[in-house]
Amino acid sequence: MKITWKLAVAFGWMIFFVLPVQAQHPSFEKPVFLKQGDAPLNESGDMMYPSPIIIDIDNDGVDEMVVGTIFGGLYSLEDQNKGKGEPKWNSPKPMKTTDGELIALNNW
Amino acid sequence: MTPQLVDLDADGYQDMVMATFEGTAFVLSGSEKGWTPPKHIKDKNGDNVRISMYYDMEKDDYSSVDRSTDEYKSNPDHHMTSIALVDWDEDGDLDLLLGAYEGALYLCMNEGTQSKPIFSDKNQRVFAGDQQATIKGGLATPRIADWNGDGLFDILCGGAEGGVYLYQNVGEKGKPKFDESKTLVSVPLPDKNAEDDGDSGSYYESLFVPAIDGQPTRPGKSFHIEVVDYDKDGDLDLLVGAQSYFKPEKVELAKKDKEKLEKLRFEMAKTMDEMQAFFVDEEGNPKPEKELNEVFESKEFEEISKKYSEIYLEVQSLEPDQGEANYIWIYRNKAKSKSSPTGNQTID
Repeated sequence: MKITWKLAVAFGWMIFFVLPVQAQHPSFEKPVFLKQGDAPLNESGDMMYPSPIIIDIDNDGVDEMVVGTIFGGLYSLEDQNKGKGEPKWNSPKPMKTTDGELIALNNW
Repeated sequence: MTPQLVDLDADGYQDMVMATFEGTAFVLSGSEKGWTPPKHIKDKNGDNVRISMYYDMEKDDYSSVDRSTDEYKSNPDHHMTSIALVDWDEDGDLDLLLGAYEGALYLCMNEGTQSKPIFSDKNQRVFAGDQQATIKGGLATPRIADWNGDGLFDILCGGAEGGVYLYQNVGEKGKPKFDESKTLVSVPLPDKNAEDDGDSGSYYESLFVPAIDGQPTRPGKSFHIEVVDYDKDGDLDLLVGAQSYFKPEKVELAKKDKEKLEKLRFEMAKTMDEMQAFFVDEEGNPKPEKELNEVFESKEFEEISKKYSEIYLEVQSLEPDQGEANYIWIYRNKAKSKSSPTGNQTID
């Protein structure tokens, strides 16, 4: 009887405290930086304060990475793996508009 | 300035939308030939969509507008730096979720249609629980995703001090309602109570992330996030663009470089003494502020500052005392298609 009572208390504690804590604490692997070959992607720092998104910008069915920078520029990176498995990124290329100008947004 | 790809005007071409530190939002309209030059996103009066504060490029100074409603008061100092588009009220058009540098989230509703968007000239505040949604540390960079797979969009945000936060939608379609923020990724914050003693104080030291083999082990600050199944294993991962300061590995210098470094350090100290002499009078007392302004504008001071910078850069090239990385990181979700880190995401 005592054992049952203790188990109930233990499981009750698990339900009310342990499970919510686990739900709030995500389970991610340790972060790793993306690479280009053996070097970190953007090792030069040209894409300062990078803001990346993964999208298919040219409608070829393969996602590219587009990266915004603090200077108001945009870069695109092609996936060498063509969407098969994890991406392998080519070098960043500054994006241009239809008039051939580099994209540069007012930033301040 | 995290961009987002959406068909803003329903013309069949994807458009690129983003906001910048100007405090405004831009659209690069997609076309058959590519992206047209950027244009500001305007409200129904033809004014730029903003939160409150913005940088007036013509006046070369900050300015502010009041876009409050009777119900939702805008903070005049809140400054838009990010934007995300979502059909907030499920009426078939895209509305604007605005992220402020100060951490707040605002909503600018589309009063038009899918093909003819007309954005309100007023902004509402976004609430989480019974509080105004605010990212601690500022720089709210919202992204929209159905994080827990319940069919409702959720808001995920990066922030200036690092970390990723989830505002889970506990409302219903067309009537979103958000829970208090949950921390998906936390990073140790710089110790604001630590001794701030320049480059040697413990506060300065707390700004650095740990490094291994001369590389940072994690993103540091200014998190700009993307929510995506990066490794294509069926669950949502977090891609994080961020800046990290770290201590580079010490490299043993050749004798010749060691001697050069010693001379440079001596020269740097001497130049610093010369610079400091500009700030005091003949008796060694600090000059008044008015005279200091003249010092800063003088050609002599400009020249000696330039000399100091050149020596400093040369010293750094031989023995850097800090590294700066602007890397893109992946936080892989361990769930592998079973559930999201917070619970019940299922992706078929």
